[in-house]
Amino acid sequence: MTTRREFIGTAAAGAAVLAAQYGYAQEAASGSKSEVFVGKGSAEEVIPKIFKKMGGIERFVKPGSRVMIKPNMSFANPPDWGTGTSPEAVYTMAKLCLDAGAKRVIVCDNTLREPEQCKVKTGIVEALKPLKGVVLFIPKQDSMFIAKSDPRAKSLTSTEIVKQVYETGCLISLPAAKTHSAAGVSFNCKGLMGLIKERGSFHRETDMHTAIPELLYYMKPHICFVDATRALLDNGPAGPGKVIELKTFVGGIDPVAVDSYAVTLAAWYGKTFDGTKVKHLKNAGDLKLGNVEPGMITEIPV
Amino acid sequence: MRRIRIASQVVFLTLFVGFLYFVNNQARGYALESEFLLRLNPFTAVLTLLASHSILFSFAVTALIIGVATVLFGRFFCGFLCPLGTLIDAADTWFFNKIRSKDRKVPLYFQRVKYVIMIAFLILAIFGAIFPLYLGPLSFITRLITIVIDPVLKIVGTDINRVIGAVSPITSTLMYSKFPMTIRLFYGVMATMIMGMLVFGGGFWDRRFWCQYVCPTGAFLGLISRFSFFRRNVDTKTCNSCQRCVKSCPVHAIDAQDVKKTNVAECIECGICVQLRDGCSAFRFGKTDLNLNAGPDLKRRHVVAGVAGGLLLSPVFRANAISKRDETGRLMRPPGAVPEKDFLAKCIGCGECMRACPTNTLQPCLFSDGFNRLYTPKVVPRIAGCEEKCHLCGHVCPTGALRKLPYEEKRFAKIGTAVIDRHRCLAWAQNKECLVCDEVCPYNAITAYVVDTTKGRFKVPVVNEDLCLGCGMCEQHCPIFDTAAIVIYKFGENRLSVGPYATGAQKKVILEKRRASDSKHLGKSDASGEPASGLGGSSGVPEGFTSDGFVADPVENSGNGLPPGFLE
Repeated sequence: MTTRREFIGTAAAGAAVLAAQYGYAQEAASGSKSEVFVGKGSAEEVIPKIFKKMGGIERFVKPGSRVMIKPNMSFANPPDWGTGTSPEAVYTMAKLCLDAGAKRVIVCDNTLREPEQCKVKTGIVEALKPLKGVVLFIPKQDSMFIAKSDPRAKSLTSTEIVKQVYETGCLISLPAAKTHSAAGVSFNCKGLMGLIKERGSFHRETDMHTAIPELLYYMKPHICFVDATRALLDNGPAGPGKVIELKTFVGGIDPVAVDSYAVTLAAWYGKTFDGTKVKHLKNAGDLKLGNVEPGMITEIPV
Repeated sequence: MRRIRIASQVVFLTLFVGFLYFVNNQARGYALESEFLLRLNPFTAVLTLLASHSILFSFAVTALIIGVATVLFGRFFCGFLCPLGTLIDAADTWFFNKIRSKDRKVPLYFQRVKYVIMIAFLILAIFGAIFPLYLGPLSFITRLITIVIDPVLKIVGTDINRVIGAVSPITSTLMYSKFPMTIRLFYGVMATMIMGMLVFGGGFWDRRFWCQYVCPTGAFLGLISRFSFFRRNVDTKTCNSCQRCVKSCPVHAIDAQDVKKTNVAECIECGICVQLRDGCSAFRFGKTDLNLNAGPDLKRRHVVAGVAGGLLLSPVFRANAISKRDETGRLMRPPGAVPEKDFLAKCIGCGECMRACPTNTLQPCLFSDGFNRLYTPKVVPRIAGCEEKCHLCGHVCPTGALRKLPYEEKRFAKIGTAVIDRHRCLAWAQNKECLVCDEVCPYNAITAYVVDTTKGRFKVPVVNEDLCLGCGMCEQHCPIFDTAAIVIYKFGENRLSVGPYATGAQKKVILEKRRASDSKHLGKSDASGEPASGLGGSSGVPEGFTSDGFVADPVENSGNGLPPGFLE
């Protein structure tokens, strides 16, 4: 029989382990430089290479664990419109996680448009079909979200987030590279808005450029990628706009650094910027949520 | 015969519900005409034919087959096919038969009521109106499933899933992704449920109460089966007038005075009488003996009553101020709806389109939209927009009130126009960073302009009415509470009975404009409302302009010519 003292001891130890795990990603940003891994080629080639350089996917995905992948699939458009993550990238990522021993991979995005259409038209449901253990989860019911608030946040003081985010061991953000009519560009930081219940409040009640980085207080992806197979250069996030093929993947553990680097990949709206020129990324840097200054980012080609 | 009947009932009920749910959906496309089961009712065919002077070919064929079969074999539809009849049988067997007291007797002459109702409907149809609460059994049961049963079951299912989720979250997630129960909710649940309770609750007084006393389809089928030659036949040798058949008959079709005599207009060929004693009565093919076949209990005065009722109701339907003035101007019909007059003559309010609609935008009209529009579908964009790549509603409509449009054509079937309320729009009125309507517009009909608002220069959404289809995605997603700041109005709707919605050349222009990237429109901006300047140009911004069409923040805006969300 467990005594109370033993129980408290176990609980404290467990909490410490959890805290350590969670803290790992949080810590990465402060002070030291962030590493960003960049590779050119198809998803099957590049993503495993990036993980290799990062020290192996096993570092993040523990055998028997649950993994959540957050792609972009909000719009029911074909992959070549550049409005969603390419199906190949989602497939590769899910397969890598399964191969690393993940028990279950949850591919989750709260789509803007009708879920069934988004599943089918983006090609993601078809791409994931061969994989066993992958769930395509489009949360649309109130009970699937959990209300959270964070004292550190100035603008986004509370929001409702998909419960499963807190029930998975590893959150992988895998957004497409595209422009956004309000946020400028939509990569990892903006992409996290796909895991909350009601996006309207960002426009209505908060300053978007502060609220987006503050989302990182609520959930910080353990692994961040940008799928720049294609880049939607204007008229984002819904398209149709100018699409170029970059065949590039950017990976890392610092969402802000990965985003900041991805900004330099293409000429958005016909202009070249660096990460500090994107409001929400600059704010993220100021809030010490990650490195946004180009000088603080080490590019590692794979 | 009773076994065959029950088997047939089960099969048809399964088919009916199965088709309703599993045949036409988005993933499988429009391969099968699932709605053909809704076309089995010949009376509906007659009504829509009378009212609209036109009928779908496939509808005419199915209705004709059932009609001719009824003329030959009697009212088998009610006993063997009708899913409402099956459900009423089930409710009677398992519930009402057990609680019904023997003292409760409905006078037999009430059976005439259904003929009066039927004749009134026919007269109404001649004057171009389908009774809004049209009581056809197939449309009634579809409506009941759509508006009441389906949402209720799904809500219960979700609750169960939530309980499971409390124990094992991942099981609940798995279940949800396998069966994503998209709960569609509808207006008029209570009214529909009460009607359903009345239909089934008739069992309190009599078996098959609805079929015997109310159902106009039953009356119609009974009327045309007067000379059918498949009928109940009594073996005079073995009959000892025990009267058991009289008592057992659920629809009182057997004459109590002369048990050999059957009222073919009432007999639904259920076969209960056949299995009572061996060989005394059987259903056989034979020459019609009018002495043994009683017809419908229908006198001249009932016909007169029906006709008078219909004649009286017809002007009542038209005596409604809503035909003069529509307060809201927001009664958008689904894309592909034929012109309103024709639409009202064809739509039977079955709710099949509302059930098929994946987004839940289709809702039944209630009394506020006019009595003659009750249960006809309307688009309610604030609940959900109309999905661009979908036209399931048209593909499941059994009567042709909604045309079947291919995707290529649906993109031009304009149902309304989006209008921005500048006094409530976040961008227009509060200069807040919001272009959600532009984000979600599937037709690229919203463009960002930089103009002088009352608070200064700001990037605001502007609707291009020529490109707008009225789908309402913008209204659905507008972040303003309650009433959106961008709403769809009916004006600009394009409704045709036949033919394409635009000429080839017009379509080409519209498609090119829709396909064209916003940035090309954002050419030059000035206060007169010209589109803002091109973001693609490296030469920069025209003089005097703050940006290339986007100003991130008017405070910081110092003519830097930057796209949204970017800093100098």
